[in-house]
Amino acid sequence: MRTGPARILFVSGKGGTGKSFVAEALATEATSRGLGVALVRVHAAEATKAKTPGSHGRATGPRVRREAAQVPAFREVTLDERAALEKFLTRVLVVGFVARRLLDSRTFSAVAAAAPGLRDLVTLTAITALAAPRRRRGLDLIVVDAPASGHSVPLLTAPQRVLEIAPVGPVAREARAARELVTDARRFVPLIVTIAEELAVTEALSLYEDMIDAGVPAPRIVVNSLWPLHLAAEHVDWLLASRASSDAILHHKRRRRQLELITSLEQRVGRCPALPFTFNEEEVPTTAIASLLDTVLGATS
Amino acid sequence: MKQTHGEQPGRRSMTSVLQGKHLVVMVGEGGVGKTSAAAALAYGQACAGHDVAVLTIDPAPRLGDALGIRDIDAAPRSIALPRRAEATGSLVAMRLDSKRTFDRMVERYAPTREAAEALLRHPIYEAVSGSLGGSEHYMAFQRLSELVENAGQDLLVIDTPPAANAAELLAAPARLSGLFDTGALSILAEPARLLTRATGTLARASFGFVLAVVERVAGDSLKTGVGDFVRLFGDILSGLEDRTRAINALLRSRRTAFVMVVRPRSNDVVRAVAFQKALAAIGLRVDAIVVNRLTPPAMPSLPSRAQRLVDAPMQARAAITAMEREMDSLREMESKALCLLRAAMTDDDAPAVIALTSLDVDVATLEDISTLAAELFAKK
Repeated sequence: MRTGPARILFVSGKGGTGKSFVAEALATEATSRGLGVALVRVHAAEATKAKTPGSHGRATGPRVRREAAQVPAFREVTLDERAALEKFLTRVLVVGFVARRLLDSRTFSAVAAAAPGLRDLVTLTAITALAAPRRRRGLDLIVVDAPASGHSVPLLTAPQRVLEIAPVGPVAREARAARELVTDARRFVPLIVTIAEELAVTEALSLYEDMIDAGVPAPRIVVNSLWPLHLAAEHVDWLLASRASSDAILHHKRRRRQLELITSLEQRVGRCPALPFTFNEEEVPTTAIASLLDTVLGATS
Repeated sequence: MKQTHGEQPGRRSMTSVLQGKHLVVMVGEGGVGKTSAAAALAYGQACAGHDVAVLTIDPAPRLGDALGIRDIDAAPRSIALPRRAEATGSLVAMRLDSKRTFDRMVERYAPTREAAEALLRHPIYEAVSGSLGGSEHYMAFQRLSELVENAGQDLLVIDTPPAANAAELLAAPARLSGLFDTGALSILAEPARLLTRATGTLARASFGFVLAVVERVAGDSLKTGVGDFVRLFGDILSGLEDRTRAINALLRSRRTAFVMVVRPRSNDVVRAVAFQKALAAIGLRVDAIVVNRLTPPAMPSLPSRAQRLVDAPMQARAAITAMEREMDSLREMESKALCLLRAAMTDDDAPAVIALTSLDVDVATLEDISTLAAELFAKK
């Protein structure tokens, strides 16, 4: 497992689908299997986002499991835009002090902001650098908690956009290397998290198509928060006719509506693994996460 | 700021929150039902006799159908109201087409038709004006100010793209003005001007240095491309800056209300409270927080209920008990979140907290919108 480059598991999806939660649970699961794992969070504004104590990093649900089982922690990487840009510039310019001086220039900030894809490319190369063989430092898997869907595609198309405007020079070299990585199915594994709600499913499908158009390997779509099944099919009619329990009817209807949406989704993209709804915000569905990790990693190994 | 007297803070009704407001900005994370809430709020006010327009960003397909604006370029659409409301009120639904809004802005502020066309065709413009990098937020506000100028309505309700925090919501205008910051960009566009102006030697040296480095790392085409773009855009800068100032003032006006929508989950509530405080810190006041999609209370158990369960097939009985237990856990989770929110909103000028019980299905018809509106405006 430790030979060859590390793989990148790119977890994206619409806001509110539990994308970050899934990314973290997958990172925890992979760590517990003895893999060297880094979890990279790429939401630009995430740093200012308040989280409940216990919902971030080390402190979420998986913590319980980790303490009990003495599983080593995964590495957490939060991308700092300025630091990433400085590293990028140092790489392309070779000289660090020039890079720092450039960063302090307002003119440069304006150019960087205007040049299409440059900022996204900096972010993307900060991620891919973690997977580069010589800098791996024992990493096998890099789980990326990607930005919400609208911002994921620009990130993945950044190399192409940069190459269109700057086809030669050191920046173009960086862009080509990044493009090569994100289009390589052995190294880049995209995952889209959705929930079984109409708008989320529509958005997952359009993200799926956009990612394929961007040239990355076909993503797998995972349906989060699927309501559990209790009532056997032959008893449904009895429940609806007898109206014995308004709660059970509500429960049944929610699941039925979800299944309709999943069916329509699967008609388009094939089988989609699911994670169950947990009736406690801190609970991680560990069995389902383990099987999801098998599915996504198995797909490429 | 003084609130309506005689009402407990946090317990004000939506009607009282909207008293005297001309503009309502809906904010919240993705997937919380913001668009449905915006539609319901607009519908409710229209039924109360106001002329209302609602601008949505990205409605779920069936909600889009219900409002008659499924397509991105759909024309504004009049929504039928109940007969008793039609005499006095009206409701128009619109969709934001952010690319089109950006184009219109260019056409409006460019000095000549040719300049506008050159800019609209520029590859960098393509990249900047698309939906990437948060320009959608900016365009929502831009479109809003167009509407405020032209509309005959007494209330505008505007949905915003999902944002989890103030930074994300307001970064777009800031980024655009940063990008068009005259100091930085005009230099790049017109190097000659710099030399004739009384600018410090340091600035001049810095500028030459930057251009040289840009050329070295990215080739000449980026340098010229950006310079070109900036020169074209420079012309519409002042119009854009005025507009941005106007929008900022409008958002801070006393006649503008911010309504936040949140899911009944503790983690979401914590983020929402932080969002509200961050908005307050930059002068944007959240007037109401709508907790959306609460699970309806269990029906009071009827005398016959136990009897009915006795009649149930054995396995069904166990299943139903499990389902009921899960619904109870869900309600417990939700009420914990609601308590957390109410506990954080006890100040005199805290936003009103309004809890909505979810419909059985996604909001998909005008009838659903009307049901939601009735609940939103229910007397406390």
